Amino acid sequence: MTYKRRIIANFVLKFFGRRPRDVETKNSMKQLNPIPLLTCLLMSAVGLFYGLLYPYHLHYYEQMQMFQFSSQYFWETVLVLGGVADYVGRFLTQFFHITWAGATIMALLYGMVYLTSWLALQDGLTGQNKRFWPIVLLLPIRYLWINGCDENAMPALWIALAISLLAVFAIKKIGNNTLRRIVALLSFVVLYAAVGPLSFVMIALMALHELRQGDSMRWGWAVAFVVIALTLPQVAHRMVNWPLENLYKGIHYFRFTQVQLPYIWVAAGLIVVIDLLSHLAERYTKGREMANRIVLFSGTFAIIVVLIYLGVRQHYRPNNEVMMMYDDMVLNERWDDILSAAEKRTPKHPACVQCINLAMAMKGRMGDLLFRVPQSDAGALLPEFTINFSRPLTAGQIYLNLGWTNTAQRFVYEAQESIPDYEKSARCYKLLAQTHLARGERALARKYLKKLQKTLFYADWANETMALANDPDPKALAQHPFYGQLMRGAVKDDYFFSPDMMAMLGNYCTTTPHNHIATQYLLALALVERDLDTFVACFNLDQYLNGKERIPEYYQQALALEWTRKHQTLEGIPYNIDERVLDAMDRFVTDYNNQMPREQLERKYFFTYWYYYMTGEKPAQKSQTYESAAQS
Amino acid sequence: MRVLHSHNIFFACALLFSACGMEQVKNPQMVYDQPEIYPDYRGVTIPVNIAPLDFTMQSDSVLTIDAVFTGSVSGELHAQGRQSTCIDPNEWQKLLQKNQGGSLFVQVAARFPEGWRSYTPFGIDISPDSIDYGITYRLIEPGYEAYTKMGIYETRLSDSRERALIENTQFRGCVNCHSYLQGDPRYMSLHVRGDHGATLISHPGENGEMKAYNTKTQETLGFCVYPYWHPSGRYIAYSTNNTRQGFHVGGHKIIEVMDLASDMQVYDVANNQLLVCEALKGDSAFETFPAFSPDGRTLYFSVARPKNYPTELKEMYYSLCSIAFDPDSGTYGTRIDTLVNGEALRKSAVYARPSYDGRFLCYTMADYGYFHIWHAESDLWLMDLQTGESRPMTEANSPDTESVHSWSSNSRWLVFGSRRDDGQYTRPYFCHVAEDGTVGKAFMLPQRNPRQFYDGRFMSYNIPEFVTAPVPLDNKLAEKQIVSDQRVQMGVVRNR
Repeated sequence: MTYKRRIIANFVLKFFGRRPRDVETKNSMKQLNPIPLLTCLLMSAVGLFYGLLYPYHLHYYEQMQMFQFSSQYFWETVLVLGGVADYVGRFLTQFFHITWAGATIMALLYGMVYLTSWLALQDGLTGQNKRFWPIVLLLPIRYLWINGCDENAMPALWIALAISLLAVFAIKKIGNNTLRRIVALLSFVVLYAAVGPLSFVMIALMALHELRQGDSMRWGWAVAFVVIALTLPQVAHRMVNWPLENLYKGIHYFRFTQVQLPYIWVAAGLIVVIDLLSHLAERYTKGREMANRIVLFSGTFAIIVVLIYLGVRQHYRPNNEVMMMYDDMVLNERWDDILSAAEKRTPKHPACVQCINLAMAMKGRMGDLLFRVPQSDAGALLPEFTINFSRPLTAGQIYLNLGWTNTAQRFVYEAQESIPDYEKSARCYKLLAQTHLARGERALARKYLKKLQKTLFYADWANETMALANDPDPKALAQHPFYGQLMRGAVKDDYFFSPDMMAMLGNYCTTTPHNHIATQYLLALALVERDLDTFVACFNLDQYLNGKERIPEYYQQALALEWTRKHQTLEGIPYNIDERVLDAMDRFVTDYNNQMPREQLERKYFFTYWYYYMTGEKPAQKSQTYESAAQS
Repeated sequence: MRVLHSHNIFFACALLFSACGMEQVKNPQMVYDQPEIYPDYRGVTIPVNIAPLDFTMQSDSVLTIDAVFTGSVSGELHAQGRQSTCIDPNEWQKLLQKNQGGSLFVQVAARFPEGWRSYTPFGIDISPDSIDYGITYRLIEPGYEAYTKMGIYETRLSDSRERALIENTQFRGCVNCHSYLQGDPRYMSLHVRGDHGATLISHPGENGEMKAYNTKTQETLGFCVYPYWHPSGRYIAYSTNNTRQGFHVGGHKIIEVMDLASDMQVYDVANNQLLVCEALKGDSAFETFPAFSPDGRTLYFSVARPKNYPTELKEMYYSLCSIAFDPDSGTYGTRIDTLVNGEALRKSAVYARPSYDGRFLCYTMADYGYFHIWHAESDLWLMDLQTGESRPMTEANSPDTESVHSWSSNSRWLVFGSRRDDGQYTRPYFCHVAEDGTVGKAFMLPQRNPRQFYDGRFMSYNIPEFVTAPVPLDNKLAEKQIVSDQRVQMGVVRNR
């Protein structure tokens, strides 16, 4: 082996905790440092988890905040309790815009907590304790990961924990007892302000550390640490406008500031317990070989890995991921992807169905595909407003594409107002800038754009749009493909939003007949509401559809149904209905009149409009997919 | 008033001050127009004790802004900055003191990438009438139904320093409808909505102790909302409003707030009783926004006939009316007088606020409805209570919304909310009202870097109210009372 190669080999070995070859001994197994290997394994697992299973969770995180490179934003953020951790968390979260950047950052955060927890604990441990307890330290990570399965767990908590643990490591290095204790007390005050109550971990670890010292003052200092930990939130309460409860449990560890999952405190508590146990073990096992070392090590590792797997599997939220995926695809106008995703696996949640319906309309295929997905009610087409910070975002996109700028603006504004941690959303700001621009409110649009100009990923778009907003020529906006269309399609009559969607949409379609997305929605609404009279009336009015060579499948089914309701027979039907549809209709009517068993009827006609209409059954209750329907 | 200064004098001044670390205004190109500045302080009338009127240029391409303020009596002040004028606060106060009753002439120069430009000077009138200690207001995002962080805040007008009085982060709810007795913050009524709904009232009669009340009773319509203190401090007039919101699908307006029912009553602080007037109760009329006259013997309010919503919404015209009130017995008069007949004018007049010297009544007028903050056509009107004549306050109004106003304790200043800045975010503006009813041009609440400040603030200043001293609100105690859910139940006395 050449010298150069040996250097590289030694470097690799060193990284994995092995001694360089030249000095390697037969006891090398005993010297194996598991930390680098475990860190790499952990980070890989976490990275793959977020990158493959939670990519849209990452985007969701990014969309629920707006990190700005400005001094005002910095001070507004850091001056809140735990603000430094929150600021760093928000800074990192902006990169979640790119899936694998987000996954890497999450992997780094987990790795950082794991490494710092070991750094904080390892002082005083020797021999096999130094190799065994790193494995046990994966146990707190389990709870952090479970916590991380919830899309409302904020990155600030990983940062807060890592900073606190790093502080323990640094402070323990101070040899002088008095100096170390004073520094610990002062650091706790600073850390409490900077990262919030997770800094209690630091005080607990430092208290344990001091108790392990031999001097007579150790109990006094340990008690002082605890007293400080308990009283600092009380003092802070006099200075900040947050409930005392938040000052003990944190403000920015969970998106809902008044709620918190217990897992982070379980994780933090476990780190403290492991510190206690590891040092007790060190005290009683020092100098002695552990029996069945390999079995103990690998057994512990296996158990913890299984526990992590079971915990994460239990708390993994695939349904939320699917909803986020559909919402993200709507946001990015990936209409074909939406339709193909729905074809592979038909989602049941109305929020997903809303997205699929929009994709159908955008692709002009609503008449052919509408009942291939479970249409539960009008809300799956045009949702009403509910106070929530995520669902109105999707609904806002629907109304924006429909041309209802005011309603889109309302839904998105309200969604942003409902974000429980009071954050602003770059996604919302972008859409609000668009709606204000389309409404001719340039000053307001500029106000939002100025904020977006201070972001990393939205700045280019904001700069381009700002040029448009500043363009004194009104034609620039009117001729713009997006804004021009919105302005031309603006709702002309002044009326209030009401639950009577049919009336609102009918009015809009009358005044804006060229909006074929709205026309499709109106027809779909009539079908979903089983209002065939309105459907036929609207269909007859629609020049666009009447001018087409082929009437879409579900419209044909509805027209045939409507005709037979009034004429008993299909003879003389004035629409261009396919023979295939007429035959199928005949078969359905025959089977239905012959009281075919429900299961058979469902198998044969589940995705027909006739079945939807006659049975009143909501396909949402079924779990069939396109494929299974096609097979039947 | 607006004197064009000699270029040479200005240039000499600029040279002189450049020696103190400021950039020198070199070879300026003369612009024979007044500068386009933000906020627009050109020709405004200001009180002698207001914070420095720092301003920026409207154009984003300005690199440095330079202003020389010259007093009509004496004194001069030179300010220069990259983003705003950066006026020295001490020098500013001295300059105003020296020139009270006079004017300031402001010579502005701005450095663009291509060089300096010097503009025609503009004037600022300095009224000897001082303004109150500060204003309090709610900061809230002008949203629809949901709300995020909000609170009641106080700004000291001599230096624009802001502090939070209470914020909804403390208890998760909505705070609004704050009122003081002619600006005296010792008398305060504050309404809280949400899970911990309550009305907090404090006054010197209870040694300033704040109590949380449940204002909803069996006999009244609902919670007491819009408050107004009686000058004696014994009573508070409240309206109770059962409101609904409508959201415009088309058109320029976006929100409408409508009353489905509303009544009015007076709360007797000493006896913990709501004094209900039968004439002001019932379904035949919607009464709202009560206000006592300075002598405490008249109660002003707005009233409209119920209409069918939404079809007749645009015919919902509120009139300004008054009824006598006897503070000694706590009884109402029997006759209701109409001051402004909304139906006859086919307009809606609301939010009557009499000046405390009894000379004027300020109100807002819009096309219909009573929630004028969402009506761009809403303007301030001033009624001379001696003649009964009203006129729009053109000097203070703008093409956008003006609403929710309050008088200073000396009745010479009005603070009101205006959306002229961008059409959505309400900002506090002040205007001078002279004893003869002359109204000065309104100016925006000064800030150190106004462009950065107001661009960055995505909240509306809701219901600005003058206060004569810092509000003595212990927000921890208030938080405790709000969260405790222990409420003093108000009683009711009818047929008064």
